[in-house]
Amino acid sequence: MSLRLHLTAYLGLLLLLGLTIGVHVLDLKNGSLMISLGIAVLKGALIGMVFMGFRRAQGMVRLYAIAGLFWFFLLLGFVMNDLLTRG
Amino acid sequence: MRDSVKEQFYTGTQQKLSVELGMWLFLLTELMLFGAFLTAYANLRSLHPSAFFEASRHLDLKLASLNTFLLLSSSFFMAEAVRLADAGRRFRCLAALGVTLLLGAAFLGVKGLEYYNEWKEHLLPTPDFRFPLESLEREAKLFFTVYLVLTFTHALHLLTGLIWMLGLGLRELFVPDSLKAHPQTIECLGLYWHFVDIVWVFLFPLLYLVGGPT
Repeated sequence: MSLRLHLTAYLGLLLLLGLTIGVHVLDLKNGSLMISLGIAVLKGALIGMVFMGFRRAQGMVRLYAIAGLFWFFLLLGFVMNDLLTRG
Repeated sequence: MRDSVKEQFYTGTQQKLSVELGMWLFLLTELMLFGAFLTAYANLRSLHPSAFFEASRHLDLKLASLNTFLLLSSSFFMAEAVRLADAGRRFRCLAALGVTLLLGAAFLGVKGLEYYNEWKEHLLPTPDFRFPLESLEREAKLFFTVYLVLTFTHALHLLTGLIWMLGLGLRELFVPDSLKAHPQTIECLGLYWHFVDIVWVFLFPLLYLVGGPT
């Protein structure tokens, strides 16, 4: 943990926020939202890795985080699978 | 620090790791809460894409962008507060916590203003709801219901974080060295605050950027 690292991550987050708004203004139709969500994943990863210290977290913490995401995507995946494959 | 180790732990390191693990487990349950709401959102959006597109354009993107900036900045100061507490810089840590608190409170103020504007325009899901495109009114109301549930739940989490932060700051002011005696408290608060920030990072595009530019 250092001030420089935190500042770099913060500036990166602001840059990504600017990029999100820029992509929205450019209006790439459906592509805009997908790109914005991709940027949100990057922002979330930056916050998680740097601010939450995930990159130096113990193995069990990593397992918990991965399990959490797994359950979430399982929930989302099965609900959407049912909805999108109805006749 | 040895005297702050609770009796069920052998060492401070073991206690630190256990607290950290417990906090992540709690965040996992929070992910399940927001995950259920986000799944409902995905479900409704795939059923009514054009209504979600139109309804999203009636949200205030400028205020939401300002709020994203405020929350990202608050996360930076929160991370700094944790780092400074770890380094034993008590006053700087309290100052960073104070800035985080102000930024978080500003977020809630802006969110309140946004709700007020939406209420004036009859866009909040109440019996008084009105949508300019009458053919999409029913489906647009679904969007605003999901919007309100997601953002209000998020705001409640933020408020909880602010109360926690205020309590922690006041305790350190009146009981000096309480941060030193309980170093994990601020670390847990930091994890919680960053998690709430990450939730907003995803709510921002999902709610405000669904429609094209106005």
